[in-house]
Amino acid sequence: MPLYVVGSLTERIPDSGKQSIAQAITKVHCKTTGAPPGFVHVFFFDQTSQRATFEKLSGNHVASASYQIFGSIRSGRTDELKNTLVMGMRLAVAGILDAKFDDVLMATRDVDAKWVMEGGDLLPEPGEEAAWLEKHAS
Amino acid sequence: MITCTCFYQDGQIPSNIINQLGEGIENIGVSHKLGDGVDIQWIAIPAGQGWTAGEPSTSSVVTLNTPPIDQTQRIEILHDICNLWMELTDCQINEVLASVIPSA
Repeated sequence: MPLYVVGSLTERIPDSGKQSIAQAITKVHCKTTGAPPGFVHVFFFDQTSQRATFEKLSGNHVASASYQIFGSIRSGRTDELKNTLVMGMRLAVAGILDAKFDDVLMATRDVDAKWVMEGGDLLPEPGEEAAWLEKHAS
Repeated sequence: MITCTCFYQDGQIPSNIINQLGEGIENIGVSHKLGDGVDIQWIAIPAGQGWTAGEPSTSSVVTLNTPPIDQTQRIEILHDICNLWMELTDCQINEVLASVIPSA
């Protein structure tokens, strides 16, 4: 957690760009939230055959656009922080793909920390990140 | 019937192990009295499409949707899933992300 899935409605994302996109999404998430990069997952479902999978994962929350990002993130983030995440990732991905900003849409959903285990521990509740991060920083 | 979605990196887990993981998930459902069977969807992430920390991913993501349960039971199930994955796939604890989410 977080898990970001990336889809494409009209064109496949070039394989040569996927690592750059994954790194950009990771960087934005970590810079915005302070989370360590080791837990940031980015999966691509941009092939036509994967369209149904992406739509199921995103719950159709992302409006039709050339490129779509859907993030499952830990609940407790402020609207301001989530907006920073969304804007930052849209900008970064549009830049890498040489696409218009409005051609990259993104939505997120909140997942309760107590529902998720990573690194053998439940995710920390909002405000309890320090000890968890210290343990999982490597 | 409860549902389970399992993402794994294509080529990382042999098919016979996938089968054993499936049996293990079903056993978790039975032992925790979660319902009448588990509908498991396996999603293989092709090479070059899964990334963790900006590098090729070796992570599995397992999400189990259950009826409402208390947190004590949820934690037990989460540990069961993680232990199952580490035991059968030899993955590290950081390579399995498990979620147990109440169905809408």
